Amino acid sequence: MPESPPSVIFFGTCLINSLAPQAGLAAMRLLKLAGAQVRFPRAQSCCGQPAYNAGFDAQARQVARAQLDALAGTEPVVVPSASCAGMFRHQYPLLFAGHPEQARAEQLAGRVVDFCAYLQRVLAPAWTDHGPPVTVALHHSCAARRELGVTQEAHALLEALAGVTVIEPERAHECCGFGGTFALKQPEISAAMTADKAEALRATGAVVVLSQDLGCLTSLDGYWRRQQAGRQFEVQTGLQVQHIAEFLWQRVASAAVQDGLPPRDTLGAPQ
Amino acid sequence: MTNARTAILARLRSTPTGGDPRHTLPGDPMMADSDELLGQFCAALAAVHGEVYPVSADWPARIAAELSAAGLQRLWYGAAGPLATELHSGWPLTTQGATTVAELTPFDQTRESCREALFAGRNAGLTSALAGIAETGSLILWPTAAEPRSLSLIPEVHCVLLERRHIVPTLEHWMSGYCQRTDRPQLPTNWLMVTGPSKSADIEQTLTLGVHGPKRLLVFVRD
Amino acid sequence: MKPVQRRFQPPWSRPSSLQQRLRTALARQPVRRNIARAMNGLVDKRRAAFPDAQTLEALRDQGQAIRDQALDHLPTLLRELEANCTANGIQVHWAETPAEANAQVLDIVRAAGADAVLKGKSMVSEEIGLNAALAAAGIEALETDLGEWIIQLAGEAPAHIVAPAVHLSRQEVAARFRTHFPELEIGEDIADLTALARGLLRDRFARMRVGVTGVNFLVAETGSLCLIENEGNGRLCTTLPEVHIAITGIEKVIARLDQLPPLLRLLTRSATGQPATTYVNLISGPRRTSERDGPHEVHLILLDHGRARMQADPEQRAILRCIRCGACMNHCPVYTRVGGHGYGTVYPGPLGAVLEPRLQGLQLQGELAEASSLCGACAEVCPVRIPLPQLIRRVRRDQRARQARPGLWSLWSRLQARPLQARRFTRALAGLAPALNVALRWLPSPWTRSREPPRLARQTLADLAEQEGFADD
Repeated sequence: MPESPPSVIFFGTCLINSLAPQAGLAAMRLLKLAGAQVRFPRAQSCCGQPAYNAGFDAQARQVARAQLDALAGTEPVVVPSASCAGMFRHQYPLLFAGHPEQARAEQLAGRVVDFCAYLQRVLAPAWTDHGPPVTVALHHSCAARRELGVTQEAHALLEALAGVTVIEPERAHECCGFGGTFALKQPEISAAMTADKAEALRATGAVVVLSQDLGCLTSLDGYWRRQQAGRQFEVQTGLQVQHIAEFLWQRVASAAVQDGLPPRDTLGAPQ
Repeated sequence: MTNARTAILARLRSTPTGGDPRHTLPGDPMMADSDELLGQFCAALAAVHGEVYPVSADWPARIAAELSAAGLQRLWYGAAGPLATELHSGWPLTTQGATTVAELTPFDQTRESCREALFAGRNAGLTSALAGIAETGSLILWPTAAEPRSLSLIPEVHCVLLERRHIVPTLEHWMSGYCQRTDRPQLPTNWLMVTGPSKSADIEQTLTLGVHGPKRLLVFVRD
Repeated sequence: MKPVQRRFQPPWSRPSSLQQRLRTALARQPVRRNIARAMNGLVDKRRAAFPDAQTLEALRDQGQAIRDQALDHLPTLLRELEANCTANGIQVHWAETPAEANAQVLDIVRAAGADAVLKGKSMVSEEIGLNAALAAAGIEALETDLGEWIIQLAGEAPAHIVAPAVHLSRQEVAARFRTHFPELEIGEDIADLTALARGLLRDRFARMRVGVTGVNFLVAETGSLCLIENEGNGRLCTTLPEVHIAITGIEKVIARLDQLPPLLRLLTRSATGQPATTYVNLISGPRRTSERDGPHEVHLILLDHGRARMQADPEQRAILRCIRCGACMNHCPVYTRVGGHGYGTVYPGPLGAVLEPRLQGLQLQGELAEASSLCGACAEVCPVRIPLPQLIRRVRRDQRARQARPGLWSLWSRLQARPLQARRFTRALAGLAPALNVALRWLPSPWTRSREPPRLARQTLADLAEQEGFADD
């Protein structure tokens, strides 16, 4: 444990903000529980990646500039999405190359860290697992695997929990097919990739799928729910998807602390 | 045509940056032990379906025996090549257990004139090798007027005589040795590195040997 | 997958021609199976060929440095290459366009008095449509690489730059042979099929007067053409005919001979996992006076076709490092599901998505850059570290600049750049979540063709952070 509590800025990401706020909240609580002082700047919105990947650099820069302002400071910026963290770390310096904000973009890039990596490497918590034995499948996003190389950290956080068994699916290295606007531009091929990933995850026998990235989970969850929609009266065929932060929080926080969590009505629950 | 040249060169940009990429020779620099090199060479060559035979002064007889066993009719060789004299003096009249010995046939005319004969019948070709590459089981060939390139290409079986002391660890070693020579000879018209017999995996990624080039590669390593 | 009932197809979700090609390719189950199996095999072989990660990374650094050095000094090296080739007796020709290159080949073939040419495997010849150009002039082009020959018989385009017939099973190959040689009895054994090709082609090898091949590397220092192959057909094409024509792109040059071994090491191991191909040839001139074999003439055609413009652009230059190993496509989740025919271009996969829009123009092929999830698997394995996702984004950016219709993205970015409005907007969405979640299910969109839409939460993270005291200005 560090002597004085480290201060961090938390960037919630636009997807978590609207689709899985409980995951963002869980991440902040975990950071706090592990001894960090967490600050959530109100002025944050989106890292700009959707426009950037679509080729709209001017629009991406416009959004990214607002984040440079919102996340200004010297503290580490913790991001519960490897994809968004990768955007900050590796793409911001390119996006702002030759622009007045270049130095600020590089400064921010150097401060951004993936949530699991920060938790595991810096805070290194020793938590007690309060949950029942469970087998989970861990899906790493391409950003976590290739852009940031933070798969070990996510794995280690889960492995440290006594009741949790972690499995990775076959062809774990392969993209889930989400790819942001790719899913809209090339729906067929994207769906084929998601279907293969979903089946590989199902084949693990796990009931819960965890990931550091909500984008992948949204796509997988959408696939399973669609399958489910087609067979109302059969057994459930899909898996429950959950952001890794939310899962960790449920396992390590005592029941009393957990009461503060909002109802889980946003992801995965089939009703 | 000249216009195309001018236009292309005008479009290109030079970026006079960066130094010359530095090279390091791969592998363990200590691995100069000749037994180890030979072992590695044999294993690598076997892995690509080449065949290795350790030989001494009796190498022509050993080649004759292999060709008889395979039922081959002729052995083509470079008439004025480095192996011609030894080959002739050591070529047996009979080999054990075989009724016929392959006929020695010098490649001493232009290919156009002996084309029919080269393609017809069941032939082997003999060449020397300048070096062996231990890492990959490869042979460096230096075809010349005296030992033409067709010898390693058209006959059904390619026989190579390799001196054991000419085995080097990697292609990088051979190439840097050649490039650093001050009396570096001009490259032949077709410098060649051969690694195993001709092969393809174009149908269902299944390896098949002897697609267009030699079906077998026999390497006779002389101590 | 259960398709959901869609009442109509709004104009914005009508498929483009690329989408239609991809859809067709996806629906061809046997082809998908063949390609997936082959790609899995190649991925495994490559992995086994590079057992040590550190050695591999050092080698990739070296490969990149060699190729970068060559591209940075391209004009100088091309002049040096030309001078040394000429001194070796190789005749050098320059072509700005495919049409020019085809015309040059045709001139040489006619001067040799030939009515047919032997062909070794060459992607540049596919790029310029050489076979069709020759056919139009009444000259037969006979592909001699086994895979190329198979697809030539089948009248198809290569499905992969290294393994052209990768999409066909042995049964399909046999069926194509039977159609072409009805007089022969043809089984489905792979060794027999290969032997058949050997027998049928050998006769032609012995007779034809012109051989056309590609080139893997050009060595400026020695004026040499490096050609690598496994079958021996390339050697036959460059040894037996009286005239050898080599066609390649201007970017293939490297400075020195001692730079060749690391590139070969990277190329063959990345492509097929082989430590070395059966044959590595360095061709440094036509038959010399005393020699008994080899062609009397060697021609080198250097093709631009947009490459010089790429070279002049500091960002795009990186794609010219490519040594055509195919590892990017072998590892691409899109390519492995649709194969080369899904892209409909000579160069498929991530390489094609970057290269084809530059060769054929953004107008024609710019959309290829959308056929990528930017997963980065290609860049991870590229032996010369081409930042393929970055270059795919670059194509998208250039494409957007050309089309210049940011439309919704402008609205989106204006909103996201204004924190207060963005928060109000997402809060409003959360407030309407129950209704919106129902509406999203019924709104036709590409997403809902195969997946249920994501569901909005009833509160935003910003509001929850506020409630728990994390929020701060």
